[in-house]
Formats: sequence, C-alpha cells, structure tokens
Amino acid sequence: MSAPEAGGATAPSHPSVPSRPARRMRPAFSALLPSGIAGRFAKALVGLVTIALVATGVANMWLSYTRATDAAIAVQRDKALVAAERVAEFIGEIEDQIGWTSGAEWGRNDLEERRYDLVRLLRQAPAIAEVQFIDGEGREQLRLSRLERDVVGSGVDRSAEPGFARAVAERVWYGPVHFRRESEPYMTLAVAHAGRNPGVTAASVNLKLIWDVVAAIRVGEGGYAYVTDATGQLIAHPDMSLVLRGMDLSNLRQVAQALRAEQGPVGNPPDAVAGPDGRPVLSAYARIPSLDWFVFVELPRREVLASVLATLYQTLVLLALSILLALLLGSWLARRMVVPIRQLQAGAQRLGEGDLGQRIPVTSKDEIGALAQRFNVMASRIQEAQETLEAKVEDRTLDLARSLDELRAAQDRLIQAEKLASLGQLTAGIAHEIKNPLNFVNNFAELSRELVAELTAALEAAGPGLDPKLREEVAELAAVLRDNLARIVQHGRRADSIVRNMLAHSREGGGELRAVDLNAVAEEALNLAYHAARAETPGFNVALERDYDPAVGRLELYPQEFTRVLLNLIGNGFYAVHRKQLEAGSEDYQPTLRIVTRAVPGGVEIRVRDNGTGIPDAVRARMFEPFFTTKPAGEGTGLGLSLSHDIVVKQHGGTIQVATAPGCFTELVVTLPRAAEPAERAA
Amino acid sequence: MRRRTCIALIGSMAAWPAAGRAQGPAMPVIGYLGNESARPVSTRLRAFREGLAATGFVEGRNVIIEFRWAEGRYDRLPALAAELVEREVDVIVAPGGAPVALAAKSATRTIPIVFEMGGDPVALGVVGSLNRPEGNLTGVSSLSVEASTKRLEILHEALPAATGMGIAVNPTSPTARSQLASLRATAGALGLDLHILPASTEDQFDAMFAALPRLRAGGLVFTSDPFFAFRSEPLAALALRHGVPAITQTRDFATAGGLMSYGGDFVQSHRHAGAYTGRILRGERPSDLPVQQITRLELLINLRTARRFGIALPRSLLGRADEVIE
Repeated sequence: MSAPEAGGATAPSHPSVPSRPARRMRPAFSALLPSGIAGRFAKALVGLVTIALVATGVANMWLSYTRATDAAIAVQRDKALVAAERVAEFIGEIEDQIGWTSGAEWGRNDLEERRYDLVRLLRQAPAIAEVQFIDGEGREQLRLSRLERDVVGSGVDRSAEPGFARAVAERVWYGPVHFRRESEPYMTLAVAHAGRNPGVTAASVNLKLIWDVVAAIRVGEGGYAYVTDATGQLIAHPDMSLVLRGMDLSNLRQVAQALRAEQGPVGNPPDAVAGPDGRPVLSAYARIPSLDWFVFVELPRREVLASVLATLYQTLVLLALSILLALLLGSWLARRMVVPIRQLQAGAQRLGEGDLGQRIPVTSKDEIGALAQRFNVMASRIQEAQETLEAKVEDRTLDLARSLDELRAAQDRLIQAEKLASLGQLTAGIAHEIKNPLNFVNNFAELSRELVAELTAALEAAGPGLDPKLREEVAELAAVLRDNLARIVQHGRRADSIVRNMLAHSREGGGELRAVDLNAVAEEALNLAYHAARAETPGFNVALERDYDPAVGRLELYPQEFTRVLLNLIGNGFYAVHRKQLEAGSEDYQPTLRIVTRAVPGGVEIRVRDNGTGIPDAVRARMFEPFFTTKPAGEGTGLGLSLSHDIVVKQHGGTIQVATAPGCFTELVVTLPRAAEPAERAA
Repeated sequence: MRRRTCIALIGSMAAWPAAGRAQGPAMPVIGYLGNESARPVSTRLRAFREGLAATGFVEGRNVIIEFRWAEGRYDRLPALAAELVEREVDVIVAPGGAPVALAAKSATRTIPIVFEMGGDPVALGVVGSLNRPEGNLTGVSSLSVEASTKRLEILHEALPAATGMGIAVNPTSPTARSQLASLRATAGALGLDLHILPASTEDQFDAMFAALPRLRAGGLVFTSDPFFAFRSEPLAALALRHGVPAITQTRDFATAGGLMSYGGDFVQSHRHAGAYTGRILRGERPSDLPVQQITRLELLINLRTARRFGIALPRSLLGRADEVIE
C-alpha cells in the first residue's frame, strides 16, 4: 500500500527535473551580460564602435572595390593594346616574309628560283600552310603545300578570286577567317608584287599559331586574352578547343559593344560582364585596325574581388576585435562607473536602515565622487541632528520627570490638605455642638461648687445645733462633692480647651496679616512655652539654645496663628525630652531644645530641634493627621501638629518637614515664603 | 544520459571530416593502351606526361597510369582495352594510330577515350566530326597519313632520275587503302611507277628491301603506319644495309641513319593528348573538346646517308628541311 503512494508522491516532481538546469542556466547566462547602467553603457559603446567600424568598413570596401576595378580595367586596356599590337605584329611578320617574295626584281626570276623562294617561305613561316604565286594575268604559276603535292605552272585562272583582285587593288589583302573542316581557323593573306602588271603571292595562314601570342598574355592569375574577327567569331583563345569548336561570341556584351564601337581603338564595358565561359569578368578590348579584329583581355571578377574580400576580411577581423575590445573596455568602464554608484546605493540603503555612522569611501574626483561627498555631508548632518534631538528629548524627559514628581508631591499634599480640611470641618461641627452642653456642665459645676461652699459655710454656721455625727457626715459628703465638682470643673475645662482648639482648627483666617519680627515671635513663643511647661511640670529642666538670624527680619504673617504653631512644636519638643529624661533617668542626659531661624533665598526657615526620643517611622507617616497622638489619654488632643500643618501650609503657603532619628533627635523645619501669597488666597 | 549522447554526437561529427580527409579521394587512374612496349615509345610517353603535367597531373602523385602493352601484336588490343574497362579506369588513352583508338572505342561507350593518330579520325570512323566529337572520344590527329603523298613527292625530288618507287604498306592498317589511292594519284601526276611492298611483320622487312633492286625502284616510301613508325631503327639499319634511299613518317628513322622523314610532330601530338587527358580528368566532357590537329609537319634529311648513297639533294629540298643531319 505504501509503495504506490511513494510512486505517486514522486511522480509530480518529474516535470520539474529537466527545467532545473535551465533555471540554473538563466542567471548564469545573464550574469555574463552586464545589466543596468553598466549594460546600457557597454551596449552603447559596442553599438557606437560597431556602427563606426561598419560604416568605415563599407566605405573602405566600396573604395577598395572601385579602385581595384579601375586599376584592373586600366591594366587590361593596356594589356589589350599590347596584345593587339602583338597579334598585328604576328600577322605583320608573315606579311613581311611574304613581302620578301614580292619585290620588283622577284618577278624576273625563273620559276624554279621562285619555287625555291616559296619553299624557303614555308620553311620560315610555320603558320603558312599553303602558298601560291599568281602571275599578273591572274594565272596560278606555283602552288606549294605542306600536305599536298606541289603544283608548278598549272595556269589555273585565279583572276576572279578576291585573293588576287583585292590584293592587286589594295596591295595587301586579309581574307576572311574560315574554318577548315569547320574546325581549324585559316585566313588568306595576299600580297601584290611591286611593279607594273604585278603578280600576287597568296598564303593560307593557320591562325592557330596566334595561340602562342594569346597564351603569352598574362593578366593577373586567371586572366586571359582572346581574339575575334569583325563578326565576333573566336579566332584565338588560350583554350584552343574553344576556337576549334568555332564559337561565335557576338552575343557577348563586351564583344557586341566592341563590334558596334567601330572607331574606338580601345574600350571596356562599364561593369562586369560574362566571359566566353559564362563566368563574370572585367573586360577590356582593343581593335586591330589593319585586320579589323578585336583583342579582348578579361580578368575574372573573383580575382578583382579577392583584394576587396581581403579588405572585407580585415574589416571583419578588425570589427570583431574592436567589438571585443569595446565589450571589455565598456564593461570595465561600466564597472568602474557602477561600483561607486553601487557603493552609494548600499550606503544610502544602510543609512535608510538607520546606520547613521555610514560613510562612503569614494576617492574619485568626478561627479560621483562629489555626490558621495554630498552624501557623506548629509549623513553627518543627519547624525548631528539626531544626537541633538536625543539630548533635548533626554532633557525634556528629565524635566517632565521632575515635574511629575513635583506634581505627585503637590497632589499628595492636596489630598492630605483636603483630608485635614474635611476632618477640621467635622471637628468644628462636633465642637460647636458639644460647646453648649459643655458650657452648661462647666457653669453648673462651678455653681455647684459655690453652692457646696455655701453648704459647708451653712453647716459651719449651724454649728453645734446639729448633731455632730450628722454634721460630720454632711461635711464629709460635702468634701467629696466638692472634690467631684473640682474634677468636673477640671475636666470640663479640659474639654472646653479641646473644643476651643477644635474650633480654632476650623476657624478661617483668624487674626490679621501683618509684618512681624519673626525672631521676636519665636522668642516670645519659646518663653511662653517654657513657663507653661515649668508651670505644668514642676522640676522640668531643659537647656534652651537660640540661634536667630538677623537677616530674617520682618515677615508678613498671621502672628497669633503662627505663634500657636511654634508653641505646639516647642511643646512637643519639651514633652519628648521630658519623656526621654524620665525613661533614661540618668544624670548624664541634658535635655536640649534648639531654635534656629535662617533667611533662605525666597523665604525663611525655622528649625525646632530637640534631642528627645525621636519619632518611629510608623508614627511619622501619620503624625500630621488630626486626633493622632502618642501621648497617654488626657495629655494630648491629637490636634496640635494637624493644626500646625494647616496653619503653615494652608494659611501661609509654606512647608513643614520632619527629620528624625528614633532615640536621638527630632527636627521640624518650617519654611515660609517671604512674599508669600497665602495658598488659600491664591486658590 | 541525453547530454552524453549529445557530446558523443558532436565528437563524432568533428571526427568524420577528419577521417574523410585522412583517407583522401581516390587517385584517378589513366588506362594507357599501347600497341608496342614502353621502350620504343619513351619519347612519346615523355611528351604525353608533359602535356599531363601542364594540366596539373603527375603520375604517382595525383594520378595513376595503368599501362597495357600489345607488344606489336595488334590483335591483342581489344582484350587489353577490355581489361582497362574492367579495371574501371577514369580515362583511356589510346595513342599510336587508328587500331588502338578503335579497339578502345569498341571496348567502352562510357569511359572517356583520348586518341592520338596520324589518320583522319572522321574518315576512319572514330569520331563523327572534328569540332564536335560526339560520344566518349576525342583526341589529336598528327596529319601523318595525309603527308604520305608528300613523302613520295619529296623522295621523287631527291631522286629525280628514278622512274619507279617502292611503297611499303601494312595491309592490316585501316588507312592502307586510302593512302595507296592517293599515292597512286600522285604517282600518276609525277609519272612514276609504284611497286607496292606489303609488310605486316618484322620478318618481312628484309625481303621488302631485297626486292627493290629487282623492281628497279629508285627508293622506298613508307606509308604512315604505327607498325612502321615504331620500328624506325631496324628499318633504318636495313635501308643502310641494302643501300636503299627511303622516307618514313618518323624522325627516328632519319636520326637512325635513314635518308629522310616527313610527318607530323609526334611530340606535339602526344603533348596535346596528355593535355586533353588531364582536362578530362578535371571533369570536362570529351564531346566538348574538339579533335585537334597538330600544326607542325617536319622534314628531316640525313645528309650523311645521302652522301653515302651518292645522292645530290636539290636546293629546294634542303631549303624545305626543318633539320639536316650532317
């Protein structure tokens, strides 16, 4: 079951197998060709070079072809003239040799002598196949042949034959070219003798021997010369077989042109034509005037093209080399150009990714170098800006944190104040309600005490009239009553004091604001508190230290209220040292309270320091709450510090802080602003 | 797998042309049909090779020549020609006369044949026309056959007193009859008696020379025939021994001591034959190559022999001679 599954799983991957090499090939192939700017640059360079070279090459080839053709034609015309001259010479020589038998005195020789001369003529002129001597009357006297039997004095009448008549008339007659047995070209050459009633020597000339002349004419590698008569019939050609076949060339363009242009001694068709063998040739011709034949000199165009082809080959090689060079140079230049651009690009990218320290190491002095320098300048500007911004943010954050802390402290104070304020109001309300019944209690207790005194007096007055025993009992009861009433009065007063304090707590803006000498206020409060403490606790002993700063001077405040604060703080200090003295019980301990005023920038500082018991941390957290006290019941109301806090903070806009070490010291520091706008009024 | 096949294919493609080059095209083969043996025709062979070389072929380098020699026994020619055809040679060269050309012609109609002969190839039925030879034959005519009457005239001029002339003729030659006819016509014009002396084997030569005095013949004219032409030296020796003034077609006869020779220049004709053979090997068709006639007929006179025979040669004859051997 698993095997077919495996097969099925591999099957879909099959089509991708052949394409994998192809996919691998493609990037490899494209890597060969430069891309982007480099590619365009290289292409442009190669294109320019190619266009320039191709244009030059084409022009060069055209020029080369024209020049080669012109030069070849010029040479051919010369050669044709030379060849025409040679052919004319060849015929002229035969003519001269015949002319040797045509002198005036030759006619006077006897026949045998003449025969001998003709034999010698045959011997000397191998082109002559047959020769005859016709006398002045037109009778054939001698006929010598290389193949036929010699005929002497046959007397055949030849006077009507052109060989005789035309020669007599024109002295020399070139007969038409004829082909013996349609193969061998022959021509009759007849020369009239000098003198009156002249005879004629007529020779049959084998024109095949012109081959020697024609074959000797060399034009280039494959060039050749050939001769036609005035009808375009081929007379001589290096390939004798063409002549023997009896070719009529009058339909060739160059031959037709030569035959038409009768006067021109030399000429050539303007461009390439087909030669006798059909191949394209450059042709030039010259006319042989005496014979009215034409000599053609032809050169295969392929040969002329060879030099052009050499140029073409050179051009192609040059083109290939130049393109290769351009490619190499182009890609090198492109690389040179692109590498700094890529560096710029990479630098910009890294800068974009946040690497502000990125700089581009470009040393070139060109535009790219300038660009890189600008880039570097920009990068450093950004970096600077970033750093400044960070510093500012840090500063602001620090400011904000500080503000937040202050805000939190203010909020805490506000919450505390609000809490105290609401407690104060509550306290005031309660005090107000308790005050009246308390007055009744106090007044009636006082009255009752007076009444008890009156009762005692009345009893005294009644004296012995009364049963002593009874009197004794009433007196005792009156004494108890008096004591009770005294306690009621005492505690009533205490309660009244508490209520009064509570009312003072809630009283708003008690007294008036005026400038007072703070040092004086402090001294007064210290003395008052000291005497009060001495009065309350006999034998109370404390060392007082004063350190008043005269720079404190006068200060705007509510003197009554602030005195209460100082009394409170000093009283607490006395209580603390007293407690410590009681606890320690040693003589070594010297209770000390020190009061200090100091002028600080923008305000005044009053420090009240004792070397008492100190305040534990648990107490310290709650010490400004109303009704919180550490004193035994009946000794403190728990409102002193709360009241002081309200007065300093709310009424005077200052602060009250505590510094303490349990069992060592406590220092309360009150700070008042000098030109303080009371916080309440500001609010 | 596919890639490996591809590489193998490319490799083999690259290897094929190299293998082909290494083997090279087979050298063309010329079948040379000779009626004699190599020695008497060495000058002709040299001329033939010159003509071949003019078209770029050199034996052993780029062409092979297969020789078949009839050793003078012309009846063997057809069998030898058939051998060459069987050998599938590229071209058959049949020099030395009509019998060779005809033997070759009857052996094949496809293999090109280049002949060399003294006679008229049209009259002998070898080709249809001179300028457009149809079929697979072409070649060179040396004009020797036509010159036989001229030989009679020349010998008569040298021996004007003689009233009769012996005519040596090879009765097996296809041109014998036509030559005799023209000779008889010339003899009539010259007022000469002709004594026909047939000889088709060498052992008849001696009797032929011996018969002359009895026939009162002043000299002996050889008709054009390769059988005589290739036996110039023995004929010259016999002529000298018998004191017979004689004329043949071949210069070899005069140089070997015979009185005179008049005939076509066989060096020229064999050179042309060689050139034609080369052109056919280059791919030209025989029918495009017209039959060539050589332009040169040469007269050689051995003056020493003339003096020895006490013959005073006239000025006109000496003036005509192309070469005089002294």
